[in-house]
Amino acid sequence: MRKLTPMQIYMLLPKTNCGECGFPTCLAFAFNVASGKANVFACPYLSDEAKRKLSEALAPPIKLVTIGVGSEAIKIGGERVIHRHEDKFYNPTAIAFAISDLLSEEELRKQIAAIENTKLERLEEILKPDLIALKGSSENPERFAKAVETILETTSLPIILCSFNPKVMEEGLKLCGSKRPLIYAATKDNLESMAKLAIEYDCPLAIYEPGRLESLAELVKKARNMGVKDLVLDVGFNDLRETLEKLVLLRHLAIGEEKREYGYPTITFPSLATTESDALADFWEVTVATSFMIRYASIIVLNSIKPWRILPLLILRQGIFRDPRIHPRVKPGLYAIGNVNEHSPCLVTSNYALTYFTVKSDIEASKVPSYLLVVDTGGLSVASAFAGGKFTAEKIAEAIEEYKVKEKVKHRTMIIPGLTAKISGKLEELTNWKVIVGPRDSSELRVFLRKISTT
Amino acid sequence: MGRWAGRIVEVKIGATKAEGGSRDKVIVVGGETDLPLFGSKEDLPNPPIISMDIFDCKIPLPKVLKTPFIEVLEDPAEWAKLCVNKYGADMISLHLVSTDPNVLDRSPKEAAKTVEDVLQAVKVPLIIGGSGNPEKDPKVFEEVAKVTEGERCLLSSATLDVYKEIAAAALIYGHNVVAFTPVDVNLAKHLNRLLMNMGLPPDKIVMDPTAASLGYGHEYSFSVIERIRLGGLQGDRDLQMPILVGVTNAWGAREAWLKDPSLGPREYRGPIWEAVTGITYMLAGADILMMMHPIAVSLVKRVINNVFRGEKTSIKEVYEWLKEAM
Ligand code: B12
Ligand code: SF4
Repeated sequence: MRKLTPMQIYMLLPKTNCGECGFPTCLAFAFNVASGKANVFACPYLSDEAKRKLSEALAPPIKLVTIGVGSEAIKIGGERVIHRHEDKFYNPTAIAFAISDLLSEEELRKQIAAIENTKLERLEEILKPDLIALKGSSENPERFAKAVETILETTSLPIILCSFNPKVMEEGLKLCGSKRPLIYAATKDNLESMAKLAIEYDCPLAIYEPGRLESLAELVKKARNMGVKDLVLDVGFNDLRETLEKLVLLRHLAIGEEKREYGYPTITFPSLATTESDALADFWEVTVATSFMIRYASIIVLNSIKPWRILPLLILRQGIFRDPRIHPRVKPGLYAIGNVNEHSPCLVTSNYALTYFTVKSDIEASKVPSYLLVVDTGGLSVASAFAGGKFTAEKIAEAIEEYKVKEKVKHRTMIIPGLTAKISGKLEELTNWKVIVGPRDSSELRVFLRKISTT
Repeated sequence: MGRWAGRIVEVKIGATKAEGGSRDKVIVVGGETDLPLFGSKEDLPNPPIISMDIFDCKIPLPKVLKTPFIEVLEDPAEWAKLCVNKYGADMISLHLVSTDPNVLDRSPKEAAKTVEDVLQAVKVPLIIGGSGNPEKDPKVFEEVAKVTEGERCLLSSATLDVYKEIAAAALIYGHNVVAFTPVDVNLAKHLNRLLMNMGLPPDKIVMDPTAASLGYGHEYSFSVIERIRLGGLQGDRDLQMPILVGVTNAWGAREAWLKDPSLGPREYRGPIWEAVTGITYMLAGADILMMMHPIAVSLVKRVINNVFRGEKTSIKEVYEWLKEAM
């Protein structure tokens, strides 16, 4: 929420104190909206005038822009803070892979398939690249259109059409304009024709201006005056530090100083950082992408797809764009992993999502069907919870009763994480169960469980 | 932008002959008046420093991490030389793991001998790490601090459980102290205050707020580092010390070393994991990065040289790139 005071909000409310918003008075409601604890649209009696004013005032200082349509559409921008601990980051950096219209149709299909097949499941999310950036390398409108056709036939991933030539761009848009591709890019030389295309096809438009930010702002204003609503900014990339500084400054101008001409998501090209003569080229592109992602790029465009290169970026993104106020967690309880029976081993862990899914996949890898008793640690890892006194013998004993473990297994033996060996004595006393101290790292469960189940 | 009232304290590590030590040069960290990239060049007077980790005995390491050092794994002095001469380490962090009673239980005297060997072998300043054993570390640090008197090393680390003996050793023999706390801004403040109450001045303290590995708590560490640095800049004197991160922790992530062809070759995954982990913490404000893999070190150095020292890197024109079929 932006800077509206409780009084400013109150003035826009009906002031009837009907209570339907869940607060006794309009004033109380206004205070809660201002502090972010209530959504202003929970009041059903807002006038149209009030609604308009409020949505304008409450809109994020960095515009939310959608690329693509349907379930694969991606949202970028929509950000409200400079540092994630001040609130959270809302829309993850989108990852795009570039392909060129110079490739043969077969080659294109192969590359698109490689992009489509790059998927990773982690903490119940599918992590994957988001966009295909088609380069109009040929400068030939027909060839570009042909490549667009191939993309449309092969994938539903949203597209970035890359060409500075409006004629080439137009041929592409004729085919995929209804799918909201991002038009890359308008420059000071072609702004008018590109903006016209953006309006005609109702697509977001990227503006490329590697010079001063003031020049970029000029172009933004021009495009806006022509009627383009959704913009994406490219500050250029001639030097890593310079680009990073501009990204930071944009963020500061948009959020800190509420300058609307800078309040748009950004696109960056780590793909430009790789030169053939560089022995570290493959690594370097990922390194550059990392720093762009950490410092506010909304889209990063990369060259070739290789699992080891995208993996760290996907995982970095998943962490940084998580809400810092919430520990990702699973429901405490007794989980059956695999085809269990009453003799299956029973293991104990915490309800931090990362811990649960890590241990679960390690049990699965052992192929020994097991029960996993997940104790409520408030979403903390075993190590943190144990150190913080939230993974205790008492807690485990209670969980055994609460989740009726004794009704599920005939034996009375549990396996606890190696880190928590200290509580085994106390735990045996409290429960009368035999306690086996497992390995410290659950990756060793693969071997450990097989050994136990054969003895 | 010159936005802040506070300034990070400058800490000097290492001492030259003229100052009573034997190092070639002194390393200064800290002095910032803004976050990296948020202000001007003048806001960051001292670029981040890379310290390469070495160990005083064999420890379990992923294969990819061992390979570059395979010839020197049992010789800390040679190991240190390799790091400085071949891989360009600014500092060496020597971890005295062997002193742990559960490892080799080497005596403080033996440990001190190893430290002297390394000091002989290289002329860069030293970080000296204990084994983390709360009973043994105080004794080891007492002895090691004594034989290195005047060298102005960085002793790693004081914790909330064990800080008195280490702070005392640093005070008496003229060293700096790393204050280690587990991912928590308030605990970091608290430990700094305890150390200062013992008489240790702020310019003898470097904070280690815990550097989790990418994917295993990284986002917590990232935000804690950013908050600590912003706290210091906003004027909180208990948070105005430079920050050290143990980037080698990145290798704790199984994605960095697990044999799994679907994720690509391990030879690449480990180094990039370490580089990504390190760069994010550096951009959040970290001053000293303890690292290990030579490729990761090269990548982070390249970012330091560009972002903090202003050296240009070669980059393609976007028009040119658009024309390429690849
Ligand atoms: C991120 C983090 C936090 C986050 C918590 C994130 C979360 N949701 O859990 C925050 C910032 C909140 C935090 C808080 C604290 N933390 Co903390 N934290 C970490 C950090 C960096 C990563 C933890 C992590 O995510 N690990 C990954 C998960 C998957 O690990 P895990 O759950 O333990 O599971 C592994 C094993 O235990 C085992 N395993 C798990 N289940 C099972 C089951 C069986 C049967 C078996 C066999 C094995 C097994 O396999 C898993 C994979 O390896 C670690 C340092 C580090 N590098 O490990 C410190 C660390 C765990 N924290 C520590 C401490 C002390 C704390 C605090 C007590 C500090 C404080 N403020 O008072 C608090 C406690 C919380 C509280 N107030 O109650 C210490 C613990 C030290 C110790 N002696 O054990 C650590 C090790 C840091 C350190 N080096 O000092 N922490
Ligand atoms: S629902 Fe609307 S009118 Fe009714 S009390 Fe709440 S704010 Fe006031």
